[in-house]
Amino acid sequence: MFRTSPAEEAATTRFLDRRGRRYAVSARAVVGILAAGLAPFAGPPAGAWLCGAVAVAFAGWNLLHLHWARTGRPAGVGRADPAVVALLALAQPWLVDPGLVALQLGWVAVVVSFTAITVQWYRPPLAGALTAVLLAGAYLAGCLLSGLGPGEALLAGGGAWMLVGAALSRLLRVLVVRAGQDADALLADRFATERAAATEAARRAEQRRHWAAVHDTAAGTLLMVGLGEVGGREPWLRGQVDRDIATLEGRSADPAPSLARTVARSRVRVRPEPVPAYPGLPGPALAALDGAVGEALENVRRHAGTGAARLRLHPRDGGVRIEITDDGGGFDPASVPRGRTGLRTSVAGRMAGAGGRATVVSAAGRGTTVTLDWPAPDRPAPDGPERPGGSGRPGAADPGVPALRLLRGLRLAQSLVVLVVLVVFCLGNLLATAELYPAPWAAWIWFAGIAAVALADLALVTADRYWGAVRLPAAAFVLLMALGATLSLPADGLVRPAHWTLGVTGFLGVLLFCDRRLRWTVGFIVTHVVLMAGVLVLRGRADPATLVEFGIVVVGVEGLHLAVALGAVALRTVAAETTAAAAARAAAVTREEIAQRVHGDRERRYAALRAGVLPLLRGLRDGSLAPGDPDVRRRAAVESARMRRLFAAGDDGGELAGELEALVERAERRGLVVRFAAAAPGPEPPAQVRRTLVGHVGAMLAAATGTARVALHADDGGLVLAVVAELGAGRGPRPVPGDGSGIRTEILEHEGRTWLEVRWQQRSPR
Amino acid sequence: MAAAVTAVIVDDHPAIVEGVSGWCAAADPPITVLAAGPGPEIASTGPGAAADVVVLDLFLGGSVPDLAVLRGLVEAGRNVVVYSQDETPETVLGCVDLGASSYLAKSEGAGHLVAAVHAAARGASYTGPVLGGVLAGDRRPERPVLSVRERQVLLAWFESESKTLVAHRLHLSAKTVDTYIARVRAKYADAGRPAPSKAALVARALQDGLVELGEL
Repeated sequence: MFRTSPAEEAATTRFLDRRGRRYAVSARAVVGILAAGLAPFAGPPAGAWLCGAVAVAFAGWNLLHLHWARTGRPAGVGRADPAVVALLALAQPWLVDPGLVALQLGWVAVVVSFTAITVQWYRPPLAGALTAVLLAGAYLAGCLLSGLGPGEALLAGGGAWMLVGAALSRLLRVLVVRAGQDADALLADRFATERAAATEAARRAEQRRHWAAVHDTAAGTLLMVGLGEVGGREPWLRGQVDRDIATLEGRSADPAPSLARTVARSRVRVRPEPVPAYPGLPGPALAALDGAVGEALENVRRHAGTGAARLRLHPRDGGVRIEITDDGGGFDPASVPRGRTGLRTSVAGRMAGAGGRATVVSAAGRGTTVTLDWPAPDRPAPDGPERPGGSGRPGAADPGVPALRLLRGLRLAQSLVVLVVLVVFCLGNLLATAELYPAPWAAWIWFAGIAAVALADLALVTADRYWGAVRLPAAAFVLLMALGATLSLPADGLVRPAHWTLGVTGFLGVLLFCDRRLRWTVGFIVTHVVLMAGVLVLRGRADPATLVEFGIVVVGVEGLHLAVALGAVALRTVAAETTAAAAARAAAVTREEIAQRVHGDRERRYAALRAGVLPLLRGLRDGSLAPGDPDVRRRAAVESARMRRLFAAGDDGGELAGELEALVERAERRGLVVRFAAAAPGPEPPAQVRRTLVGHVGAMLAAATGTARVALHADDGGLVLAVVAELGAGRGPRPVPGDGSGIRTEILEHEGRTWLEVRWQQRSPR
Repeated sequence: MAAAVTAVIVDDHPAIVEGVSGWCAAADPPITVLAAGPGPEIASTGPGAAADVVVLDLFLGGSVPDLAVLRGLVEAGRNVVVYSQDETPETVLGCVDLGASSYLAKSEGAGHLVAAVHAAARGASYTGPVLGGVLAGDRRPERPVLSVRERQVLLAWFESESKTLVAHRLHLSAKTVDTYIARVRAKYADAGRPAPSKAALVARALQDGLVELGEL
């Protein structure tokens, strides 16, 4: 029914795009600058000064790139950075000590692999893959130029690892984007549901207003007949009863709607002049169109700021289309605050009520066009007032499941990645360097410990569980294993391939703390780095060269771990949002279902009411019923009270009010006169409580004679139901002891009348 | 003895006019209906302009309450008893805020209407059970602060429609029940937009000793 801006439809995807790009570029810049800072101290063949100059230039490029990425200019900047990094890779023979290259400890290796990873977050899949291949190729070429053999460059040098890392990064990105699309679909669905519900509510309100206006007159007549104020000879009585019958039968006495009159009343300048006349249409359609035109013009007067509108009327085959356009400020339909949906709901509600359709198209600064169609075009509206809940999405039943499934997919991927890293790289390194260990068998203990934690994580993921209470002990255990493995190495094996825990320990932190806030993962990684630095100092390896190498490893490896953790955080945020959106949608659907049920019930009662009121009025008109007859008076009193109840309550009165009204009507059929009043709306009680409350009232009314008062009001987050009545002898209610559902009753008897008060206190949800 | 109370009825339904006129004639002391008619002008021109009290139907031929008519009457210093089919809290509170002496639902019969007209003629307020329920349920941020007892009295009055029952249940005298209700109305008259008849309501409540200046 309402065209929505793309911003509303794809909010999450756009948010993820923006956020993902910013994270990726920032992370890449931080790693680039840190690595460049270490570069001159890692023994570059071209000398510290030349390498330093390159490093400074590269750091500057990083800042420039970051700035460009943030401002979004110039276009195509995403392609420039990988090219710069590829040049850096080719220059490795001059910039990095070949000994470090062979150990994958060169600073350029860190920058290249990080670029291949981060580029996946802001380039399309194919471009990202090509960039990764280009970077890996340049890196391998640089390794070969440094004198490494092809196999050495691919494995020990880490060229293959770059492609694996890029692929993992792409996988993460795809998971997050899919979760975002799911979230957007759910959000759009939720907005559509709420819009449809608002339109439906407006339609019902319009119908009620119509009933109320039509019956104001009949209710007034019967009220006074019921109160005995009409003798039967009044000169006005016949004419009034005639009018009452005419309105009840739907023969309106109002003059036919006139477009010229409505326009004149609106105080808006309308072009072209003179305005055309409505074509001949059924009365209810004309009334709805006229009301909708009035609302639309009122909206122009209030909000457009121009006081002028264009009105076009196109007669169609058996119908009409009316367009009202202004050149005013317009509004963003997505930003209209809740409860201020005046134009949207009132116009749409009126038209929907009469079988027509209203479309409002507006955008800030571009005016507003209201299109009224009667009858509604056959083509279903994109998000028209179809019954909410019928749009085919399972969201109401299982909120957020798609996002939760993706979250599980991410955990599974992470867990498998860690196992692959453990088996391929750690185990490989361990086998290749086993002879370095003073006691080779001991090295396996530490490996088995860490592998056990990774396998346990995999088991937890498959069981859809998290680490929970054993999280901190497990984290301490992992750090202990890493420390043990590090301490069992000879001092010259530190920060070398033999030091296999360095590359994987942080990853285990990502697994263990994946459902906690990011600071936990960061804390774990920092603890690990501090412990390893402590070991270096303890083992006398705190020399500048080793520290630089250690720095490069930390920047490269832990940067990757943090990037993965960040992706998980983004995915979790989206999952939470999706779940909330689905829950809100489900709540809206439930509300709407209740309202529809209540309204349907009211429609049935309206039909029954006509059946009771019309014979009464006809009898008064033709004189077969005398207003002075006590039985006629009683019938008139009952019918006027029924009318009043029917038209007074809103559909949001809920099921309790509806059941009470039905109960009161049953009592009235027995001849009891019931005055029912509902004050400020309260919470809707659960079905069990509702049954008990209605049961109390029913028992009282069954025992009552003469007249009774039933009152319902909200009090302190609960409900109070009161019945005051004269009861037949020996038929009093008994107080009901508290039954744990929060219901209390109080009974007062005074001067022959009994006052029952039933109080239900909603317990706090916690 | 004060002069007889006079009233003008603004209602477009002949049965309502007939009924209200009948109640007024039978009232003790009697109320003289000076004029009655379907449009608001009946209250400001001819004999109706001199009436002590205006009995006003809010829905004069329309489907939305015409608060402008009420505002005009109140600003002219008239004492208005609103007599309406509409029991929605927004409408009721809107009328109280504008300065109506009383708001009665059409379902509230002769006794309440006569009492309301008598009170309005003295410049005082009258609160029927429906209005009492709405005031007790008022959750708007700008509402006046009611004491626990005042709320209890209002709700009991709404529930039972009987001041005898309220008095018996809360162990008060019937007069004290009236005092609590009148104090609530004085607080409402003292809150929000100023209007001549609201000021008069407060003045009346002070004069009658129902409230102290410090309580407002």
